[in-house]
Amino acid sequence: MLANCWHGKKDVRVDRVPDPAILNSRDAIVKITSTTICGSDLHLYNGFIPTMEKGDVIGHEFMGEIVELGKNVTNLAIGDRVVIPFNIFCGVCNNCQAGLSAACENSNPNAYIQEKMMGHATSGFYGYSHMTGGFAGGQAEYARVPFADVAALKVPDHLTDEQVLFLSDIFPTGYFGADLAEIKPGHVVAVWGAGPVGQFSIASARMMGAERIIAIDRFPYRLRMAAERAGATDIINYEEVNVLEALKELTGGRGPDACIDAVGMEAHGHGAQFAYDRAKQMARIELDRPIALREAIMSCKNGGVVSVIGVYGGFIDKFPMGALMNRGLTLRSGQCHVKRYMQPLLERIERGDIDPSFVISHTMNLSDAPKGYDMFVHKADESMKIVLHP
Amino acid sequence: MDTHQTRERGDGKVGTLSKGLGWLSVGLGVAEMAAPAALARLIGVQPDRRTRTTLRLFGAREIAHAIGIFAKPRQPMPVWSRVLGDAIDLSFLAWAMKSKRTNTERMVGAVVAVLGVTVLDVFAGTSLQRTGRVQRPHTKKMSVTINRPLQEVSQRWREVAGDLSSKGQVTFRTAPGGRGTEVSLEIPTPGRLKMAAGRLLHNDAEQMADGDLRKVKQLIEVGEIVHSDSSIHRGMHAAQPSARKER
Repeated sequence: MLANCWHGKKDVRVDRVPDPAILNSRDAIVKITSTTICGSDLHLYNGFIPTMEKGDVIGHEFMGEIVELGKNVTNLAIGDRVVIPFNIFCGVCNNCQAGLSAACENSNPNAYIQEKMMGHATSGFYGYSHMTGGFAGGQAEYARVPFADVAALKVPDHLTDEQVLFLSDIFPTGYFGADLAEIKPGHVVAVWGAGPVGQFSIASARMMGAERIIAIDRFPYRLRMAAERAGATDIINYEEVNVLEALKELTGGRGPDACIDAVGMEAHGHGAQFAYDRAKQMARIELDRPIALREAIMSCKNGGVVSVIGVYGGFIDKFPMGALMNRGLTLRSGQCHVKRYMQPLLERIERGDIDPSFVISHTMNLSDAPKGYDMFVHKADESMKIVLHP
Repeated sequence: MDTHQTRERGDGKVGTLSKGLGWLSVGLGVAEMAAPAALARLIGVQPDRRTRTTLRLFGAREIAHAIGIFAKPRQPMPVWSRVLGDAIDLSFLAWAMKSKRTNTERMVGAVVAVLGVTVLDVFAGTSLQRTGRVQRPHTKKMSVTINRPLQEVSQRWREVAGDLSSKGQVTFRTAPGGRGTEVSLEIPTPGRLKMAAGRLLHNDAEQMADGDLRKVKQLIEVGEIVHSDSSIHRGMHAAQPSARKER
C-alpha cells in the first residue's frame, strides 16, 4: 500500500510499504477513505518530537471502511463505515474505565520510554513517535486499528466524510479544551491559536454559552474564519497589539474567565522573549516555546481557569508559577480522551448544531502529502486544514 | 507497610575530614604556585629553576585535587587522587635526596609530614568507599495495578507469569478505591558491571522484569500481549506494517 512516511526533519515521503495485518484478536483493518494532516503532525515534521524512526508511517486522524476483523471483535462488521480516535485504548484498565482513554495503561508497548521522560506513560497513539507505542499511522491506504471493538465509532451514511472525519481528533480536542475551561453562560473566553483546534474550541465555547469569545492569532485569514465561521466575538492579532493590554481592555480590566492555549510547543511571538525561547529551543536546552501559555496565565482573571490543549513535549522555562499560585488560577490540560466526546459530538453534527467541515481549506490525493506538509508548515495559500484521500 | 525512607548517610565525620583535606590542598597548592622558592628551602631542597617549575606544577595538581573534593565531598575518588599525589610527592623527595645540596634534616621532616598526610588520605578514602557501598540498595521494587480482584490476580499470576516469580519476591494487595490489585515484584539489583553490560546489550535485568510485569498485566486484563507495528521486532524498527503482502 501507499503510506506517508517520516524520513527526517522536513522530509516526508509517500512510500510503498506492506499492508497491515491483524496482530491482536481485537484488531480491525480499515480501508482509509479520508485522512488529514494535523497541526501536531507539524511538530514531527519540524523535528521536535523525540523517538521518531526513519520509515515511520505518520498520521493520526482517519476514517474508512472495515475490511478485516480480529476474532474477538463481535460488534463490528466488514463494510462498516467508522471514524477512529487517535488514542489507542483497551477499555478495561482503570484509566479507561474512568474515561481517561488517552492514559490507557495497556496500549503503549513502549511505556517505559515515556516513564523515563514524563514520570508515567500515555496511551498508544497512531503515527506519533515510538514513545507513544510505535504504531503505524493513518496517512495511508490501510490502517490496523487495535481494540477496534471499543475504539471505532460507526457513522451514518447520510453524513459525509468531511462532516465526521474530525471526530477522530481536532473536534473533540477543541471541545475538550472548552470543557476543561469550565465555561458557563456569560463567561468571557480567550483562545490562543486560531488553527483548526482553536476554531473548534471557539465553536465549542459558543455552544456552551460563552458570552464573549476572543480569538488570538497572527494570521488574518485564521482570525477572519474565527469571527465569521467559528463564533468569535472579538479578534486580536498579536503582531499588531499587546495581548495582555488588549484583553484587559476587552474585559473591563478583569481578564478572561477562561483562557485556552491551543498553540503548544511552537508558539510564535515577538521581541526578546521570543528570541530567547527560540534560541534555547534550537540549542535543545528547552524543548518547548511556551509563549502562549505564559500569556494565558498572565492574562487570566483571578480565580480563572487556564486550559492547555496545545501539544507540549518536555520542559519549559520561565513558567509564571507566582501568577498561577498567588492569583488562584486553575491549570488543566491533557491529551483529549477522544472516545468520551465522539458520540455526543456526532449527535450535535446530526442535529445541525455544527458542521465541522468549515475548517477544510484544501483537499488532496494522499500521494501529494509531502506538498501538503510544505504548504501547511508555511501557511501557504491560506491553508487551514488539509484533507487527504488515498 | 512499605517504607521508602532515606537511608542515614552516617558519613558526616568522614565528609568533614574530606573537606579538611581539600582545604589542605588549597593551602599547599597556593603556597607551591605563589612561593615555590620559599617552600623549596622549607623542605630542604635547593630552589633552582627546575625545582621551582616542578613545585608550581605540584601546586596546580593540588588545586585540581581540591576542586574534585569540593565538587564531590562524599565520593572516594577525589580523595584517592590525593593518595596518588602523595606518592608523587614522596618520589620527588626521594629523587631530591640524591643531591648533595640538600638539607637532610629538613627533608626527613618533609617526608614524615607527607607520610602523615598519606595516612589521613588513605583513612578518608577507605571510609568514604565503605559508606558509599552501604548506600547502594540491594533490591529494586517495581509495581503495577491490575484491575481485577486479588484472588483472581493471584490465581492468574501462576498461569501467566512464567519464570517471573523466580526472579524475585512477589506480593499482592488490594488497591484502594476498588481499583483491583497492586502487584509488587522485588528483584535483586545486579552489580554495577552486570548492570552496565545489560544496558549496553539491551539486556537490562530491571527493564526486562518491568516489561514482563506489564505483559502479565496485559494478559490478565486484556487477555493477550498488546503489539504495535514496531514492538513485534527486536530493537528499534520503523512503525510500519511488516507483513509481506499486498491487498
